[in-house]
Amino acid sequence: MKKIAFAAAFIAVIAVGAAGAAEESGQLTPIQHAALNKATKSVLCACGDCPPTILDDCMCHAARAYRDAMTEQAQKGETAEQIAEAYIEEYGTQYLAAPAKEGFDLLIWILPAVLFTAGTASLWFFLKSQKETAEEPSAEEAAAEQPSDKYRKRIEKELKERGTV
Amino acid sequence: MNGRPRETKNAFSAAVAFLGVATLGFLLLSMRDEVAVTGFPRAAVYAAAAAAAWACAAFAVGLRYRHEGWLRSARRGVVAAWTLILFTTICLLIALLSDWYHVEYVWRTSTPNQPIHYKLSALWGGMSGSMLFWNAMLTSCGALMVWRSRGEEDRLTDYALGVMSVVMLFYAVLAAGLVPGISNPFQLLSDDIMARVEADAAAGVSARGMGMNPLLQTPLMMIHPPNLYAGFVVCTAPFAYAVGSMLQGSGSTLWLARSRRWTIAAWLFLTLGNLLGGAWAYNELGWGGYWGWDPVENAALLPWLMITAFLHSVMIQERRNMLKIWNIALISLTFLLVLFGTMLVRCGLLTSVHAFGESSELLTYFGGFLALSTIAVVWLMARRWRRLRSVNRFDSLLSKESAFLFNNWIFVISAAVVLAGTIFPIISEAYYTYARGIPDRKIAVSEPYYNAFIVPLGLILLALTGIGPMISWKKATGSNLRRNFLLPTAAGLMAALACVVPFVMIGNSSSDSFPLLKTIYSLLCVFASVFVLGTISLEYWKGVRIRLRRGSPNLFSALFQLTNQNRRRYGGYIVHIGVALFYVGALGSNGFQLSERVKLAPGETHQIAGYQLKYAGEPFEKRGPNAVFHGVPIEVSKNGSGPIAELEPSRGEYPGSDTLTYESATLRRLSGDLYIALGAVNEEGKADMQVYYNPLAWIVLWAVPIVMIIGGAVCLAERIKYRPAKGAEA
Repeated sequence: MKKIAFAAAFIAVIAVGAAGAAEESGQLTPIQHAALNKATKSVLCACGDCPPTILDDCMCHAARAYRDAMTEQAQKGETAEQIAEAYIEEYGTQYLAAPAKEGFDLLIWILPAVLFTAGTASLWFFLKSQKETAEEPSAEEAAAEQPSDKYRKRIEKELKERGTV
Repeated sequence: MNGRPRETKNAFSAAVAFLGVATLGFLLLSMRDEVAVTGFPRAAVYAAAAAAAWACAAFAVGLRYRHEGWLRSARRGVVAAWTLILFTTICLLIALLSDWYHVEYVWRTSTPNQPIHYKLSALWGGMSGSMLFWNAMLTSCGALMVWRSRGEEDRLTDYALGVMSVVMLFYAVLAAGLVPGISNPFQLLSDDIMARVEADAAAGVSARGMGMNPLLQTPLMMIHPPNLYAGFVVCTAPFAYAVGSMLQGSGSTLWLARSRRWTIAAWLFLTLGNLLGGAWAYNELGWGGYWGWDPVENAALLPWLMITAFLHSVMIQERRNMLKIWNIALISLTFLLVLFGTMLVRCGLLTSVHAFGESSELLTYFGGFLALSTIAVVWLMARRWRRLRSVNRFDSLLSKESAFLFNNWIFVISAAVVLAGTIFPIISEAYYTYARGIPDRKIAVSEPYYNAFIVPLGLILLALTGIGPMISWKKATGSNLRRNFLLPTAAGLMAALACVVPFVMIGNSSSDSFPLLKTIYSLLCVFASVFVLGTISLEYWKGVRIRLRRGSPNLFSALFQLTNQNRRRYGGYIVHIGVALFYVGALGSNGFQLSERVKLAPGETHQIAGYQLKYAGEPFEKRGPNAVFHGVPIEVSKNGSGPIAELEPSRGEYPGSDTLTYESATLRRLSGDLYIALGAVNEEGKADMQVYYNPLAWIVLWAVPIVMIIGGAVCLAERIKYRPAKGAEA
């Protein structure tokens, strides 16, 4: 048990040391890199000239400056959510890559799912009801679909002549 | 025998003669006075609008009173509008090629040193020119409808032409510059601009034009907009036939036969327009992708979704005389969504890289026509409800009809998702401004929203692409299902199983928020793509085997005979192959894209996807005919071998424009594209670049368009015979 604890403490010290070294050299640790990546993918470029482009993909001058600022925040240990929140606070909600899942904006997330579920269910019941009706033909339809005795005899005769029966 | 063939030929002969004489006269007169001569094409657009208005009125009277004289006159009106618009278009091309900078449109979209092919594509590079070009295509459709129906007493086409002429009038009014927001393409330079030009001239600067938007000065922009416009415009013809059929009061399927080729052509143009637009974005916008869910891209996708649904559901009406109302609704929605998309692009409702500008008058004009068209279609459908009710019923949930209906439903829900995402920013802004009193709160809807819904819906559609064509009509039996689906399902499962380990490994090493979900989607995509390709291969194999037994000399001959015998069916299969390939390419290039921001100083190297990039040399500057390109040389080698390519990503600087273009550099290989977009180069020559590795991108950008063209062309070559469906009126 002591050995495990010692090994864990050793790994932790190495990890903290590596993170510190990475920060000092301007490099990001994997966790910081992931936070930066998530943040830059969750917001749009706010330069005003670009079309709505995910900040991570945008190559304009302003986007590079935004990403540099976010890199600094990530180096300070801020989470992806904190980085994105600070960005939105500064530039406005229109630069959030997707609407928030709260308040009125939640509607856009719910609507497609509701439409899909309701529509698919309606379609299912429609097809089922049609099938049931189709399975129960009226007496007239049934009579109309049955070949008359005259035709049945003729078909049987012709099949016999061809040798298929 | 009626006199229509001769009359129609006379009308077209007169049109051609007019075009020849008028163009020659225009050229001769322009040698004397370039400014005064522009009055002719300017007036010709007004005359075209008047001819379209005449056609509307004459069709209304002729159809109401069944008067052949009025109908003849109306058809001539359509041909006249086409002739006049074509004349104006030719004149605008002459003006662009001759550098007539006294014409405002030429001044805005051209410069003397703009390459000649971009002077030609400047025809659709600005608002007025593109509207004229739109009119040229729309009136050509009208003229073609007149020509194709010349040999018969075709009342349905007369009704359809009546609808067509209303739409022609709507757009001709726009082209004439009668609605503020779009000017006449031959409007002369305004006093303000003239003063600016004179001031420039006084300062020793030549009075050249502004030049076309640099983003549009690319070879793909010479073919992408014409394809997309053609797709939008040709959608009007099947819509006109559908409405014409309702106006006529007939419940027959004749309108489907008449509009069949128009529908396939519209679908093919829209497909190519969207794919080529993606290729343009990939090459020009520098973000390593081809689809960004931009509102204007969505506006082009919406009619495509509807017309694709329509192409499938018409088969049910043709075969079983069902879904009559549904088909009319689908083609009407296609047309209405074209109008809606045009309104988005032309009125500046939303921010987009493709938008033209803002105009409230245009918005009112478009919105009014959109509302009127919707009301008219709904009213007609309500009036003809009884006649349009289905004769037959669905027999089973496991049938082709049910599969196609479900396919239609998924297309419609996909369109609803895209439409909701496109207009939600406007709705949200209105809600926060008027209901909550927060005017500054705006939102954007982009990739995360669309991916959340469209990816699963797309996977369902892909599976249905394999099921729909092979499942039996009326009711599928167990043996039918086994015969058609057992092998493809097994092949799909095996392919998916083979991908589990690599996909899980890639998923775990990526920075995605939901690696498990992405892995599941990727595996489903592999399964469904192989399943679709398997079902089609099986179907082809069955047909080819029979032909080989019947004496076809070889496999290719058997394949050709098979496809030639039923062009519609096998053309459709080819298109489905294109669809499956698209998913494979999209999975590779979107799902497994590698992207890294790289800052390199001269001599430094970087590794990505097995490639080594070396900044070999110094930043360079290259001069094009009308631009300067600032770039860096990047030497590419693979696996420690010598250099295999030298890429030159650069930024284009066009005089008079603030926009710097991304001239991305791409190394194309079968496995994927190595794509470099240059951001900036600092004073020490250090280059800031975004490097992407896009696996299988070539499939989406090159292979799919080619397969779609082949499949679409085979379908277009179908021999169309009108056979009333069971229980339908002739």
